[in-house]
Amino acid sequence: MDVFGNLWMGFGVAVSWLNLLYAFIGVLLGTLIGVLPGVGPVATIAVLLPITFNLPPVPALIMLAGIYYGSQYGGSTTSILVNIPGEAASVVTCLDGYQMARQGRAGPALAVSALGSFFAGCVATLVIAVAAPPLAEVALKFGPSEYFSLMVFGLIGATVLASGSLIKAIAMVLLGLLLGLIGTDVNSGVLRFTFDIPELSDGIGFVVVAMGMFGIAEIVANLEHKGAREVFTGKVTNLFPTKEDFKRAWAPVLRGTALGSCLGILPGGGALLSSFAAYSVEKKVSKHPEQFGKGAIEGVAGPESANNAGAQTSFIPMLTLGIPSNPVMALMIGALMIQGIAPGPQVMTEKPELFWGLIASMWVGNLMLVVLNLPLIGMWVKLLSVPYRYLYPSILVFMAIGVFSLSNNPFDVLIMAIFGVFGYICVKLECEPAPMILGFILGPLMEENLRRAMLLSRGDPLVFFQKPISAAFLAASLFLLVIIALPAIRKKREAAFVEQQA
Amino acid sequence: MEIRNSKDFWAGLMFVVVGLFFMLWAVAQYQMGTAVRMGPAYFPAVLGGMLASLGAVIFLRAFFSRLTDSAAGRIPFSAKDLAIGVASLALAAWASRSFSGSAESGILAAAFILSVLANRYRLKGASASLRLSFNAADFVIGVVIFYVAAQLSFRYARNSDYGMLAAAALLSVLAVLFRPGARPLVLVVASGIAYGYLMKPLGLILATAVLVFISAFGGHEFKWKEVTILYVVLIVFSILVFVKALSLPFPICPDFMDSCPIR
Repeated sequence: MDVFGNLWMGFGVAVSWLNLLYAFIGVLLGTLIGVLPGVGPVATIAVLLPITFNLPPVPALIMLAGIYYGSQYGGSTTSILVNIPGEAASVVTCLDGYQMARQGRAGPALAVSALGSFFAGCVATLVIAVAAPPLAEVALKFGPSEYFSLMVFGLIGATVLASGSLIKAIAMVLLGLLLGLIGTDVNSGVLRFTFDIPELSDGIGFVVVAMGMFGIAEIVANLEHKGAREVFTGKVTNLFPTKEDFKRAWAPVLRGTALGSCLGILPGGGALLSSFAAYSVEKKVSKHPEQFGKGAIEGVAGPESANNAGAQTSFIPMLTLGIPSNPVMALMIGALMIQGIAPGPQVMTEKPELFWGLIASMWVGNLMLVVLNLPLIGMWVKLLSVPYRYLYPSILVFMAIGVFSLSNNPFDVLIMAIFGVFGYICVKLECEPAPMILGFILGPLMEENLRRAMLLSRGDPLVFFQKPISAAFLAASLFLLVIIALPAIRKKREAAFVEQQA
Repeated sequence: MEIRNSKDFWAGLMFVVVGLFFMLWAVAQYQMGTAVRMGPAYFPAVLGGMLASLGAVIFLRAFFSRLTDSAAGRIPFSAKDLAIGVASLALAAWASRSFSGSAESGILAAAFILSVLANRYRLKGASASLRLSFNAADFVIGVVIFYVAAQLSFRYARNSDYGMLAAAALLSVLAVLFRPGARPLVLVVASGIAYGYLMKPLGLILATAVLVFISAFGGHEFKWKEVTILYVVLIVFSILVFVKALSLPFPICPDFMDSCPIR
């Protein structure tokens, strides 16, 4: 079957009433949490994971995917209107988007961001449809040494994204790998690091760790510093951009889409990296770099297209290799495993309706987002005035219900609390939780592949360098490490994250 | 010697301790195996060693960093304190292991010594958002309270649930009275723990009440009327969505009630 035949079949799956309904719920929820600052897509997906137990796999994944790219849309709305990034990837949109709003051009900024994102979403959907099958075919030939090196590459990629120091991020990855080993060792059946606690014999649940590290820690950190929010009260009129706006925006949209589609595939990539990269590219190629930060429409169009494209193409490594490239994808893998589907290249051949249905639903979801968001902007802005003191007990209730329902055991809630405290300490010590979560997911997989590779090579560690694909991954990891450590890049990276915090 | 970056100091220390723990525990308890046939200890031992070495680098960096993180300035540090801490930990573990066969009580004792020392090097930050709301001694005391309460209740009631609840309650009261800065952290976490352990005996309605009211009390503003309305909305939503629509097997009413009016 060719790509279009497959896509057609996917659309057949995606437009069934049930799947349309869940795609709608997903993008609606995604937009909602994208708008609300202090509630990220990771925490939301973690909270909703247990609910998907009772759903068939296709609508479950469609809904979770909708939350992820929906949150990119919602985040940009608040960046433009109130200078608050509802979501990390829309931080750069604040720079020019909010300035445009202050000049009374909030309408065009919102429209360009929505249309640019829609365009990027369409292209990224095609990219996934075209790129995923050949990649999955290659992945089917991967042996344990290739998988091991790929995971090393993925984990190193995750450290690039961490905003703190590189060495702390790597330490967090190692810590995550170690925590992932808790439980029964598959090879020998030995209970490792369980301390005679029967609940630990199956290991610590991934959802529990994610909710503690992202959910609880975030709530406590938000409660500690109280900040007043300035809400943009001006009315959004004149939604449509002028001809001049279109003329200036189309090239950045194209560039942003291309950049985002590429960066999204990289491990550790996704929406966040893409939007930052797109902004600096636009600033570089612009004839009027001095306008940036003062309401240049290019500074909205580029990053907004890029983050949406990146959010979508980051599904490629998850769908074809079974390797998560960011915490959201790690949660998706969790959702797949809960449904009894082993993520990896075989998903495409064994569950084509899931694979192609998900891809087609992304396009459908993007269409819904445009239709949903442009008329509802006023409502989203009103949501911002909901005080955090109503929000956080509600989030806590959903988290507690979600965690408790995993196995009806209070022990899971206790573990969540412990990781909440640990996550809080990590925030204070400037250790990023995201690399740890990826390590946690990959820990058992890595050990398994390392063991197999060493068994096959009879204990010769050189096997990782002799196989070409494996060697390429290791070389790429080394390359990444060197680049980040280089002083010039380090300065830029620090500057980018300073901008993010400001 | 001066600590120039107290975040690196504590993060490094944390990684060293955790890494060493995983490494030593794996080597002592499980089969190492060979590179060809790796035993259960192999991978964790290697990872733990790597983590401990990275932690050591981060720890040392705290003394030579060009970036000073705290407005509070540099913190004087005597290596003697660290040596005393490490030595007391090792000594206590060894002594209690050789006398009672279990390292736990000795490690608890050493934890107290360490916590007293830790008090001198508390994390200081330029802004409130970077400052830790409790110090290392508080942390150790909190962990010990939980541990002792769980052990006691297991010994006398064959169930550690009561101990967990009691410890969460005790810590909440202590935090509200003595550590107002740690109130958000302690109350949010304690309310979650209470929810988990109260769900089976008290049912969804009462457990959610405990969760909502205690966690709301951890915030800056607490108004009975607002929180009550929020609670009613949340409990109705939970029952309709989670119990009715998604049919999660939660008890709605307390265990001691014979018949539940809501079904």
